[in-house]
Amino acid sequence: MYLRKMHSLKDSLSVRLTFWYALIFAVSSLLILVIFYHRVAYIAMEGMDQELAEELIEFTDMYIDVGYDHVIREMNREAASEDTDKIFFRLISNSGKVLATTPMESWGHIKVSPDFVRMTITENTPVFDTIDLAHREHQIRSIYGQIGPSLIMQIGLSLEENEEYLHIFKNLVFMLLLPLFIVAALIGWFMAKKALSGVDEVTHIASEISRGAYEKRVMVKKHSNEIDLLANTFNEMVDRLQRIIQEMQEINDNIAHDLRSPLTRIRGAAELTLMSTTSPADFEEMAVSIIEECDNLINMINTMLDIAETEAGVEKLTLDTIDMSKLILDACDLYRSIAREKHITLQVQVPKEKVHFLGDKAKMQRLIANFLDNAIKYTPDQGSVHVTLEDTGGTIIIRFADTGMGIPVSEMPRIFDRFYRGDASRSSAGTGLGLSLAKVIAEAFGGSIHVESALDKGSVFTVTLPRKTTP
Amino acid sequence: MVYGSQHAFMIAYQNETLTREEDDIVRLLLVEDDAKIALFVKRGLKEAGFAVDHVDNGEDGLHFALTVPYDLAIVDIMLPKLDGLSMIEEIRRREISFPVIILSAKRSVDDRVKGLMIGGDDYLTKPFSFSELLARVHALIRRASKLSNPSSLVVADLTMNLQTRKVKRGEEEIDLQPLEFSLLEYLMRNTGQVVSKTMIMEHVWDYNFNPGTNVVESKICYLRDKIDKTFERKLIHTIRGVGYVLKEDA
Repeated sequence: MYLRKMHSLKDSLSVRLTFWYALIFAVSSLLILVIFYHRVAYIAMEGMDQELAEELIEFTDMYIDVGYDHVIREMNREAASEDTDKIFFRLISNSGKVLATTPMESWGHIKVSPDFVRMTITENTPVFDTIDLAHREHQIRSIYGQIGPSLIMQIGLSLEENEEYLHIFKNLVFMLLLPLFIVAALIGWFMAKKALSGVDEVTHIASEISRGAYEKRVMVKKHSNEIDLLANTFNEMVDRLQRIIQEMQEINDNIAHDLRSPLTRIRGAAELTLMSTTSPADFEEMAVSIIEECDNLINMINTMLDIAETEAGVEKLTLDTIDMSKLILDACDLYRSIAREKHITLQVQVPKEKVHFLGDKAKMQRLIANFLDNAIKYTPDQGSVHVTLEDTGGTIIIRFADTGMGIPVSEMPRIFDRFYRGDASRSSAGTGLGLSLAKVIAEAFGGSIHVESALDKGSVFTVTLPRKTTP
Repeated sequence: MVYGSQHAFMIAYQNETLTREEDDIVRLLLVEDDAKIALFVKRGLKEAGFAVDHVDNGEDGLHFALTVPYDLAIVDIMLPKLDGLSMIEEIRRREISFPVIILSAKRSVDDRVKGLMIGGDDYLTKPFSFSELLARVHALIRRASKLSNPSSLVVADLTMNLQTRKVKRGEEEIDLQPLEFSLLEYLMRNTGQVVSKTMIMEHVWDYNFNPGTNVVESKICYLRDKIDKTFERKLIHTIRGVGYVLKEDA
């Protein structure tokens, strides 16, 4: 458990974000400090060189104005006042021979560089040099320069002060680095936490939802950033999920009911036949009713499967060029005898020329038959049913108008629901799936169904099918 | 494509049956693993006068199919050891060509097409009505044994001329609507056999679903008015809960 927690901590996005933030922050500040350090060291050195060069000019002027002896006096005086440990002067001839020098005890034996002497003479500019002596703690900066004809002066200055400053500066940088890293990590952690708090909330809500709390939603702050977008999308997804689950629950309830009732009747019929004194005629009666119930059940299951199959999409349906007017005329032929039995006038009106449509023949037959069946079923004797087919070129419009009982406004939104049957027809035959299937079929082909109805006057169902490909 | 190959095998099959016509018994192979379904199918087929061998797995089914000269096989798809489709494929690969009816719980068009492509001749979805299975068995055996297309159909004193499309009962000519003609033709072609409403919907109207309200019942009613009403001997009989049968005796 502890290990797992450690592991998840290592993998946690906020920990990783913090780590990277702090690391990048520390590295870049270190880089800046290093550059800064070098720059400071360079400037310090330049200042020192300037000082040395100025000193050299002073002595040059002195040599010209007051002569050699005065220069020696002055350089001894200056060395003594500055501390002979920190500065030395010496006068060198053109051949590199030391002519005079300030006390050099603490400097050890610093050789005169013949190369520099030559360079000073030939190029007639001062030459700088940094000398590292094994027995001295600090480096020395020295300058060679001509102060008179065939007279060269070398001034050496200990870098002690300079180096001390830089050392303090270096220490300061290293001391600062750890607190800087810690501060960076804290800031990083805070920022990562704040940025990811929305994600955490979504995760939290998602885990609650997965445990069954479908009514939960993520609070959306009005920032419209990526996290809010995620929260919004997530909420929409859950909305849809909840709707589907609710629909499925309703459907399940209905299926359970619609399965249970016929099964009860089947069982009851069989039980009753076995319990009572029965004649062959009773057995026959039972067998007949069982077959009828079973056929209804099979029909219902098949219709459910058809709805599911059609909902899965058009790409799964077989597409043929079909003649809609023939399909409608055939269907009306089929229903004509039933209409005649109920003394219902069944009128059909289709265009003279063929009305081609790229669709699934069986599904279209079904769509038409379901509407015809409904229209005739809900139209009382002596009524009329009027079917028209219209081809506007872009769309095909099929209209089923009846003089039936009509649909109450309160029931309108529910007539396409699965297993929905109007109260008046609850006892009559049918699965309550006919209109749902018709709707699913129409929608599978990009079409729609429109209903107009007046109580006791009749209903008009209009099916509009867009024609995608004209053959 | 499916129909083409079917036709080719039917011709091949015809020669085979001709040599066996002396023994009159029609022998069927039933490959079905559900014992209760097998029991009622076997009993029903025996009552209809067929000799039936039943096995409950694909391997035995294949073995029997390869060794016994059957007239027809009824094969379930979901079978232990060897599935029905593979079994049929193997039978066809060995050039054994008796008709095969596929039984399946899957009713999608894809499955049906797949079954017929592989070498099945007919496809029946569970749950099926026994009368439908029986009718399909009869139809396939009839198709395999005699390919001749009659020019007229006769049952008792009812005659139907398929060329002139005239229907007579005795000497009296009967005027039928096109749909009624097709319905009567279907009943007459299946004389003596019970046909279910589903079968009528499928074969006469080309509707592979039950549209709810009983349109078949109503059509039969109108047909009866024309064929039977004014005559002593009734030909169209209702078998309650199952379907209809056209036959001479009551």
